[in-house]
Amino acid sequence: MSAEILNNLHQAVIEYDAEAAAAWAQKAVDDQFDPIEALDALTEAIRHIGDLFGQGELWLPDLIAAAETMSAATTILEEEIRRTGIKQKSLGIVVIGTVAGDIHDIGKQMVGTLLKAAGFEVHDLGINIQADDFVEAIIKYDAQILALSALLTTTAPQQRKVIELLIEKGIRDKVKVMVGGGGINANFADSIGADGYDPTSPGAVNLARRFMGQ
Amino acid sequence: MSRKGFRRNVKPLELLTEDNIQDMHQAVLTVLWDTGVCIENDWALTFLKENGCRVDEGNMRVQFPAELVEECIHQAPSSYQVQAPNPVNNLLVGGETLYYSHSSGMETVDLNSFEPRQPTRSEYIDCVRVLDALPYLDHLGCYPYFGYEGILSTMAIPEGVAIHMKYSTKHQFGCCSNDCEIFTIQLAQAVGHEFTGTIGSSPPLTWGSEAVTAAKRLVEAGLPLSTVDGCMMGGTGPATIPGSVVVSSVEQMAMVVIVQLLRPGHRMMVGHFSLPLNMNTGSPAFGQIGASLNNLIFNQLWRHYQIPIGNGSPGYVSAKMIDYQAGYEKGIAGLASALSGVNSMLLHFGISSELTAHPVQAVLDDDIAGLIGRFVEGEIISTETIATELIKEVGPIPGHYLGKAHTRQWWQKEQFVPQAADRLTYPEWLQKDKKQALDYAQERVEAILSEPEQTYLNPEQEVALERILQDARTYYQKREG
Repeated sequence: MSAEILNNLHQAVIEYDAEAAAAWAQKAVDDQFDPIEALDALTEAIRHIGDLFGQGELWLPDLIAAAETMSAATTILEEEIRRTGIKQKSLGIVVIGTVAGDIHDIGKQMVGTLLKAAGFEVHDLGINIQADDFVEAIIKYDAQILALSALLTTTAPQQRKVIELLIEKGIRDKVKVMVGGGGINANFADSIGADGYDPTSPGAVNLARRFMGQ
Repeated sequence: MSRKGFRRNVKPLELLTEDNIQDMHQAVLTVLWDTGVCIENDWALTFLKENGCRVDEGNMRVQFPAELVEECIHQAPSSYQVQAPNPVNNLLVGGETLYYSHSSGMETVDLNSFEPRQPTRSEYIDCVRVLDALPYLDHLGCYPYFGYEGILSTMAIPEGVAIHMKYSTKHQFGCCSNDCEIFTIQLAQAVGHEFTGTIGSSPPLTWGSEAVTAAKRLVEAGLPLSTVDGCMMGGTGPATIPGSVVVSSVEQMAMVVIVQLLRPGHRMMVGHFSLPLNMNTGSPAFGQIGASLNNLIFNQLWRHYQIPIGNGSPGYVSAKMIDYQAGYEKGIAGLASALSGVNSMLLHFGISSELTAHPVQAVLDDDIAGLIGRFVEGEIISTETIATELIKEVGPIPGHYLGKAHTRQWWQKEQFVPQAADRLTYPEWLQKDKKQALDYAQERVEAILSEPEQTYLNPEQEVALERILQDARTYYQKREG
């Protein structure tokens, strides 16, 4: 039975079948199957998709569909993890979001998906996120990495604002801040005091790994 | 079973009105009767006389009666199939199908200096392997190089045809020159392949004896034929496009009559290759917009005749390097031909007129072929593509379409993704060696050639080919003294 659950969770992601993913996640919970093991199966599947995306074999719609499929299952499994208090293993905890005034989602989703695939615990706050909300999430999730996205040159300065708030709240040293998005370059990242920048989503994952000493 | 190529779903671009077409057609018939065509071949003069043409043997001039011409136009098939060594590569020539092939180059070119040099046999084979691997190159054309180091120039075609047979499973076109069809027909028969024989007129208004003899041999062997005109506007044809199209069409029509009288319903394609003349140098002005307009007019006229059409000029450019000029000359010419109803065009491979060519250029051209092909395939309008239900489901922000099955199902059909173009974001490009299309194309050629070399003939077939090639070598050595 355990192999059946794991295989079907894996297969659901590979086939972008969100309904099946949710159903098999619920079955895992109902059968009191280890939710961490179930999450690992999903992570393995999304890693496979992420690798194929990196190799140019799959495309953005495949990556995002796989991420959304995975999300349908992880919502159920993470709830179970919280309920049971089991400790989740991960490479690190990441809070990610698109800064205030910016509603672009896709680049942030790509990075979030690949970070999950790489084994990070990712908390995606969404788009148009105020600096206060980033700070609150860092404290709430005890995050080690903050990933800030901004597509527009007009919203890029919001990334500086978040970093300034981290300093003001005395938690700047607690997190590594990575910035990205179409409106960002390495010089800008340096100028606002970010810890790192990469123009590509696979590069962002490597950066996060380096932050965690990997 | 046949190669899909591209299907033209857009209405062909038409510059001529129905009256214009009738005017052009009448002009063709008038020239065929009033002026006639010089047919420098005794067999053909007798044959045409027996079939109702007026023949002046002394001047080798043949006048074609309109009724005979009209009858032969109707005999020619509007579409036909040709066989390839692998049936998946068979071609269905005609209708709204668009196929691509490659032009040719006398020599290869050094990609650093862009100076020409004769290719080695190994480079010739590599070239055929690359052309065979390209997804939008539907059939091999003549040559590709005009021979290689260490062979008689007269052996270039037979040796090349044999290399095609060994290293490709695509249908090939084979030029006819210096009686080489005697041997290329034997090569085809020995391995059970079909090839399309290509013969050329000698503008203005002349068919040389060699071309006529080749046509007769090919028709008798049951092999399809591609007849190529090639008048230079202002030189071997009128400077005006309609006038030069009339000259080209008269030449083509004379051969349609010969072929269809010889074997009614014989498979044939009219290959148009007319260019403006460079009035500074006297050489053909490859890549000029006049050549595209010429193709447009010719294609519309010959769609009216419902005889399959080939265009040669998109594959040849005035650019001397693989550069911006080469790209726009091929892109514009290719699009014009595709939109105006061509069935097969040469596009890939050629760099500088007919002088140089390179597989890296062919890889870049394959992207142009795909882009144009996607364009002429047009759009499907349906409930599914209009996608009202999906638009409702996704709604405004933060909804998006990336994760939807509809996106995965449709995006690749709607777009064309070039293989050798730089498509990185600007920061990625800066980070990743600032590669250009040429770099990607070179990498692709290297990747194709790094695959294990495959041959498609069995040992008996190879022995049979070598025996025929040896006969050909002996024949030409004797002929050249």
